[in-house]
Amino acid sequence: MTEEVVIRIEGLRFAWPGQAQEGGALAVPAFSLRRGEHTFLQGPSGCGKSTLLGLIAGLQQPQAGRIEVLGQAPQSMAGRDRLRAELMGIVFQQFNLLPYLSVMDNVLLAARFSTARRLHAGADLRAEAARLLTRLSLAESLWRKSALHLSVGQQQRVAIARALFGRPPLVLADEPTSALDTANAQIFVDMLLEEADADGATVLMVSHAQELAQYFRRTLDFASLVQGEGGGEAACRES
Amino acid sequence: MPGILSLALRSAWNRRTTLAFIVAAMVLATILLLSVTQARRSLHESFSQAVNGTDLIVGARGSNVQLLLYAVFHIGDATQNMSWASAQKLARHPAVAWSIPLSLGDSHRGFPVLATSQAYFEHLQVGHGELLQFSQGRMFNDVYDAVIGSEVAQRLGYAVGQRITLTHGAVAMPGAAHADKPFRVVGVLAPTGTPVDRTVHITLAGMEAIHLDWQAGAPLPGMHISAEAARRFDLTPKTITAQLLGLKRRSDVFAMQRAVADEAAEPLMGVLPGVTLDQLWELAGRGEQVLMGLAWVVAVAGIAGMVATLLASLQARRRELAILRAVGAGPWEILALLGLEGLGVTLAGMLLGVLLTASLLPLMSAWLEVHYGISLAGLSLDVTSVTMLALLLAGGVLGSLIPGVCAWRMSLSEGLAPRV
Ligand SMILES: Nc1ncnc2c1ncn2[C@@H]1O[C@H](COP(=O)(O)OP(=O)(O)O)[C@@H](O)[C@H]1O
Ligand SMILES: [Mg+2]
Repeated sequence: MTEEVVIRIEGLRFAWPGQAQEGGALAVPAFSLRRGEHTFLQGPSGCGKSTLLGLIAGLQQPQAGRIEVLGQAPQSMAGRDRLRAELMGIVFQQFNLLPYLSVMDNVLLAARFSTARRLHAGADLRAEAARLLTRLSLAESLWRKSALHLSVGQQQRVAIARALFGRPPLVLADEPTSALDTANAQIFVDMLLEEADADGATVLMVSHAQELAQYFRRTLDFASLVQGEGGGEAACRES
Repeated sequence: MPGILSLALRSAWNRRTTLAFIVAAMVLATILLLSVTQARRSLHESFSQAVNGTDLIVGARGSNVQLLLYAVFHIGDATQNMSWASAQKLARHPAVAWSIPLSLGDSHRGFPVLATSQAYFEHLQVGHGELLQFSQGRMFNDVYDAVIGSEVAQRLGYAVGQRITLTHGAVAMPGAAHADKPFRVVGVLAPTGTPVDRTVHITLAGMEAIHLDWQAGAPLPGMHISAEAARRFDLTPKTITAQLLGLKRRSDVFAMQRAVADEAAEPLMGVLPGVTLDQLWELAGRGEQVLMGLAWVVAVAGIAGMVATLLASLQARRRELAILRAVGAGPWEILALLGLEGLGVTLAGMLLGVLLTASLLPLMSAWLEVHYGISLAGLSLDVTSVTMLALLLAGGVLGSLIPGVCAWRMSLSEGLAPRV
């Protein structure tokens, strides 16, 4: 199956406005992520991990090179927004949930901007959300509560449920354990990978925390991935 | 897009306290804009209805506007009197169809007392040319008969048969009562929406009778004439306040005006009510403009406040917008989220404002009725009001686009997670 490759990056170059002159541009000559090949990308703060995830998510357009997600690389902003809605689940470091929605509605948010995600979730969206929440050990009594009433650990697990809702093939996680203590971080990663496997999603997680590497099948050093120019390169190689 | 609408609603509800203040500002702006225009329109209408059928108001020479306001609306300062002889002479002028003498000065519990003749009930036109109607009783006949306006009857709970005493001057002063000569209500007039409603009407003879033993605004010491004794005196008035004239042909009005001005016996003037009202509105115009300007200032401040608040909230909502972007919302949907909020707040404010104005106008009307005998029409969305509402809405929409566009630009430059 050609769709075995979830992410393929070739000759990527990107710089934030005003960054090129300072030599902080991001360059990734080649990277690919195969289905099921959960990958941990480790690197110190500030060397462009979030920027890379943003590029994969299609929030920014690279200045050069190509990023394909399941073989698709839409050129328009609208196309990239649709691709993100349909194919990707995203977990941030913290504050993943909308405070004015219940836990349940936060999970359902994933299907709001994508018909594909709705279809994949099955006929009963709430039942599917309930299934995921239960699997992530979130008691039913919490479902109707505002996200504000949850502990950070619980919030991050709700974020996993949302990221996996509607069975997207790719889950991007940006330092999702930074706000958690060691025990909770471990629970989080365990659950993320287990549920991703169960739902057929591939996880790309970036973090500065080395100790998480042990849970992943594949670990990459951000420095070996990027060809920074000048300062950027130095910052990432040093660690 | 329907997804965004329900999210916008829930997000807005979450920040309802802040938004309530913006809505309040819009409500205020709407009420001000609407009530100023509505009150203006209704005032103009109600004033011109009170002088509709009258061709000329005659009085002692002085200020046109003052004469009109005092003689017809019982507002403002008393004018000089004119002699009864001159009034009689003008009434007999060949161009004159009818004449109504007006004599003011006394009051009954805050309501002005107007002494006049039966011609008042036969010729005075109110509203769109209708004559006065009685809801109870009949017109006055006897010296001590009184006919009261609908507002007087309603507020004081009077009906035919009620005995009343009049007070010298417009405000009640101790010792200034004409308590010795009580009047009897013989008729109650139907509502007209003009100053007639809050007037107590008596005969010129009645007015004369209560002042027989008075001089220069005070009772003559040591002199008392009883109500019955007064009947034996000559009760023809010596002076009156003003005289309303109706002409046989409208086109004679300028000739008649000249005839009045040429009256040799005393300096008189004839005032055209329509022209004088225009002068009055011109005088009031500056005030109206100031009010209108103020209303617009409030409107602009309301919109500016909305823009400022939404822009400020944008900073606090960066996480919210980042989450929405992450689940697939496009920059246009982010713009819509912010824009819809502004639009919703504007619309809510305007709607509430219109409703409140509709319910406030009757209260304002009641107050004006009590104090000035002027009633306002209910809320009617005429061209001016609708244009103003449209302008306000346009301002609100344009205003909400500013935070919308800012959010749109922000979402383009923002990475995966907001940098805070
Ligand atoms: N939205 C943005 N606009 C401009 N510059 C940014 C933006 N996001 C990140 N950067 C810059 O890009 C560089 C890499 O940042 P980031 O990708 O957040 O690093 P990491 O996630 O590895 O800590 C930093 O120098 C940062 O200042
Ligand atoms: Mg980062």
